[in-house]
Amino acid sequence: MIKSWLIWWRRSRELTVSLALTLLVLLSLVTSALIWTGTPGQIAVDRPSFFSRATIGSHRSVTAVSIPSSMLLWTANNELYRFSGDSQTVIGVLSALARARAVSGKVHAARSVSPLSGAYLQLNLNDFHTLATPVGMWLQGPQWAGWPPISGPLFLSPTATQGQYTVRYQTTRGTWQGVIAKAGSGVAAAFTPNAQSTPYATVPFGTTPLDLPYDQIEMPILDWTLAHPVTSHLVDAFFSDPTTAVGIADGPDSTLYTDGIRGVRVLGGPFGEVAEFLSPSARLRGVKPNTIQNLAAAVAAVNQNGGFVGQNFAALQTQTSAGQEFQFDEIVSGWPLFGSVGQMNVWVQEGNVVRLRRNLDYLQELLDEQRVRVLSGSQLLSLLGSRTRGIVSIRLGFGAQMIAEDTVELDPIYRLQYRSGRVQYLSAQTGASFVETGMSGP
Amino acid sequence: MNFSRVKLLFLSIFLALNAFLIAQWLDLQSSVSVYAQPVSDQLAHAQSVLAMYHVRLDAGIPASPTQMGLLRVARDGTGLVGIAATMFGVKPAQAQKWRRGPTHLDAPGAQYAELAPGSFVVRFRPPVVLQRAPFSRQHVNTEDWHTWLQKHGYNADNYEELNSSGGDKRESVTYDQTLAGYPVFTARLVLQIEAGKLTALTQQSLVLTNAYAPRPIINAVSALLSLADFLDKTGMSADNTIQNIRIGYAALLTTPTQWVLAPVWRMQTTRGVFFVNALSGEVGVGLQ
Repeated sequence: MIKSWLIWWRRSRELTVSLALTLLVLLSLVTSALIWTGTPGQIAVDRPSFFSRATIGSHRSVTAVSIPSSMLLWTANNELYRFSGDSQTVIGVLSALARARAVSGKVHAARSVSPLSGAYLQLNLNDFHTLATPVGMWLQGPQWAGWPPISGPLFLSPTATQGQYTVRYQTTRGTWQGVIAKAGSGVAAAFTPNAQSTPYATVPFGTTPLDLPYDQIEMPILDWTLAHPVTSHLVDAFFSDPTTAVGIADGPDSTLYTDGIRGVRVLGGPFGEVAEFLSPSARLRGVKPNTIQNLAAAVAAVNQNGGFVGQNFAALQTQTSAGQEFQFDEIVSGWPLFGSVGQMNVWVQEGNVVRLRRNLDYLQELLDEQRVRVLSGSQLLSLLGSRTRGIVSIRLGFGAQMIAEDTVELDPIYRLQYRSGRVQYLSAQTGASFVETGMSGP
Repeated sequence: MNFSRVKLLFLSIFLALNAFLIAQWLDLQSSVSVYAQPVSDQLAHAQSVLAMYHVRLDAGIPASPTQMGLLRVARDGTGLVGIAATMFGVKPAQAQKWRRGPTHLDAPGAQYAELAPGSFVVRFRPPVVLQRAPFSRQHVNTEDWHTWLQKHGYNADNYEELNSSGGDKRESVTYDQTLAGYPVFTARLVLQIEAGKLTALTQQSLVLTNAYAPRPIINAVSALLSLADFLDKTGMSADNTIQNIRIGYAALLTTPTQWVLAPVWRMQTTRGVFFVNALSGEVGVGLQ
């Protein structure tokens, strides 16, 4: 028996060793694969790991977008200058205000919101601040406790005491004023015109005087390339698990990606695609809106869904029973960009963002710049003649027109707002109507 | 070259390699095994987290199915004529004669109005009165209306009762349509009962067009923790009480033709209704 086994072993030894070696090689491959792929079968993975970052722009803080659209300086020599809201001078004033100390016992009702005489600064804090509960985003320190909510521009004028300034602003309960101290050099420096300022004039116009360029100022015509971000990245990043989202065509040029509760609607816009990030939500009973908290939620929503591109400023667009709508507009070369390029609107209910609509196209690269002279305020008004009836505000800024594929030209335009809510755009060079794609909105 | 020796050498090398790899794999297995926290501990944790946002849990925790899938639905395109014919037990040709315009139909004792495809309201003139046996002292109750609905309602087999609210004078009984075995919280049938008489019936009816592959869902306790995250994110801290938790389907986003129903945990609270997506944990606030 043993003898026969030994004979068999001698004959088949080579074959057995070869087979064993083959099996061991295969086993090593299997175990290597198991280690490489993790430990299948042991953990019930709830959903596949899926990470997608929408990186159109960058994150911004709430204060970074809570800048005024502009600031006006009235000098002691009775000259008026305009500063862009994103200029270093204005940022210096805002930072100084944030650090200032209110002189106690000095907050009281005033007769007039604008200083009757002498130099002053006028911060045009946009509509956003008109409904803010504290005195603006920059004035939230404990020193500002007790100041009523702001409702209009904020005026700063120096007092007889060195380093102290009178603050005046309109509130829903009338005009209020107080005195602040230790405002630092940021405020004092802003009382001197500099390279960032543009000569302006207050043109008498009905009951509301208009602040417009004093002379034919120079503005650039800018050619920018437009970038069209990849929509699928934004859609994927919106859902915590994008594999649960289903695409449904819900219009001729519109697709809704939804998991039933939330969704992203991608539709055609004037320059490219428009994305609507939707988290529909009913209002909860007995929960009061908080504008500052809602703005923070709106900024966070933009940060999470592509981020900010360029320098934006926030404005509270509407406040209805359905919530608050914030609009983020861009400042380009110191002037607001009107129309839909890069515009974003966010609707918030009690800190819950229910809708974010953003034009995905954005200004990517400056190709060309050409300096032109624009109509002064008085020239514009004389050109308008009788058509000025019903106008409540005129603002100078840029409007976009498509000049080539993926290239837009930003032209200086005047934005006329009528009492009826109608908005009209005029070329700031010629006064002709500026009717271009994407310029129909506010 | 002695191939036998080389083979033996390789054999020993691969033996050692496999021993190492198997040891590594076993180590990986033990390091990723998860400690299963008892549900009672998880619930206590969820309650304490919710209490930080002034939310009290006053509802039972239902058992959770392990898997559910998205449902794709469309509006029921039966139309008023078909619906009225079903409810009255007549032929469509007869119901067609009652038609009074594209969205209205006047049947004997009942006026139909189409609110949207698959969504309609029926007003009963005069109101429907249930006849009880002579000398019966028993009051007409919800169960009796349920029996009436099974007999006279449209597609009533596919609706299950959610709740009844109101008092003796004015009461509404609410039903949810069921699809794939679960209630759809956003497709309702509501009976309006005044002084014991049925005055109106409002109904939404959906048709299932596609059931997506089932996937693992989060349990009710995890859904409570998702709600706490939502409250934290939105800064909501008003006093609130969760009164009821149910699993089912809901859609907060619809299109004119088709949409998707998500498996959700529906949390009825004193301030409103929260829907927690059972697949992703995302939270929405709804009216229903």
